[in-house]
Amino acid sequence: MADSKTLAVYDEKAADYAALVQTTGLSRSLQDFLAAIPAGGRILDLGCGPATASVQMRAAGFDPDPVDASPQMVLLANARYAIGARLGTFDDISGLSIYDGVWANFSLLHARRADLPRHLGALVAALKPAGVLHIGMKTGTGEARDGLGRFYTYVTPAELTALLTDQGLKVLWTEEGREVGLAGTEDGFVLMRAEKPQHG
Amino acid sequence: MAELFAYTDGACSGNPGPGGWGALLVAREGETVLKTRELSGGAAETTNNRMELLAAINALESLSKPSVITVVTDSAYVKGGITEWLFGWKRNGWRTSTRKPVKNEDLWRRLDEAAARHQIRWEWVKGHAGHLENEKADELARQGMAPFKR
Repeated sequence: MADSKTLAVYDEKAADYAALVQTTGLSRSLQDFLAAIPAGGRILDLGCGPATASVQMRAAGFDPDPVDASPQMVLLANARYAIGARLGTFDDISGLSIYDGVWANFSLLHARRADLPRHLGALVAALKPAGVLHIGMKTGTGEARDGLGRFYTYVTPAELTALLTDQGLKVLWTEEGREVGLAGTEDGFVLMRAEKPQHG
Repeated sequence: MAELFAYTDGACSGNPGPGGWGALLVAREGETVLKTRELSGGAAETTNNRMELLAAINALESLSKPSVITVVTDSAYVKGGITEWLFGWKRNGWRTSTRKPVKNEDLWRRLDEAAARHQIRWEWVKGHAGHLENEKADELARQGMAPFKR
């Protein structure tokens, strides 16, 4: 089930969020992800938000499929970029062997922990053999809501590795970051790139 | 005025083989640590030198604005490359003095680009010699390698 409070925040803040994630140039992780995908490949941009990543994928010659569960985000993405963004939750991903890549950058962190294996299973099924999955999550333990009311599931890097390998993926690359200030508050993230086996 | 330090290290199990990199960034004012940032990562098939380079690259790329920073590495390869050899490589069109292609050219270019944004003092320390922050960077590099250990 999509979390209605989280979606309400994104619906209300769509324009603010779009301004926040507007970046110049490709992020390093997106650049490395695209380098692992055949030219012109079809890419699922899961939880696309304002579709900035999809816009960059399209500019690099790929064929993005931006999907988001927030109607306002989808409206904004299409009004701004005519990128063909469509409305859908994690549970609406149902294709078989149709994507060369899946870009799930800080989107699946809004799913319940118990639902992660099912969602990842659907993404792996939707990937073609040798397809590549990029995932970004916040690190930690447990589930919580942030100050805006958004729901988050936190994972440890070891836990994420296990979630991916349990789905038959091979993790190729990881990156982690963690920052601690004087107040002792911590904000960590983990990025992973994994490949679906050629056979099996 | 806060002083910024980056302690970087790479690790590799087999060369090539699974590897990891780690960077500990510390902002200090006098003796007080204001802020720390830990970065790490890894790859399934890589080399020790590539991990050492990526540790320094990621530390520098993570700085949001041009900074004055001391980068502390235990890699003579990174320190020597950035402070001595890089100038000649660029002049020779990314060839060594014996006209061979520079190894890890992609990462040297990236480090050169990342370094150009900052004012950097490069410092070399002996690895595994009880240097506290270097040990922490080593631990982060091992953590980065962990998902790939066979």
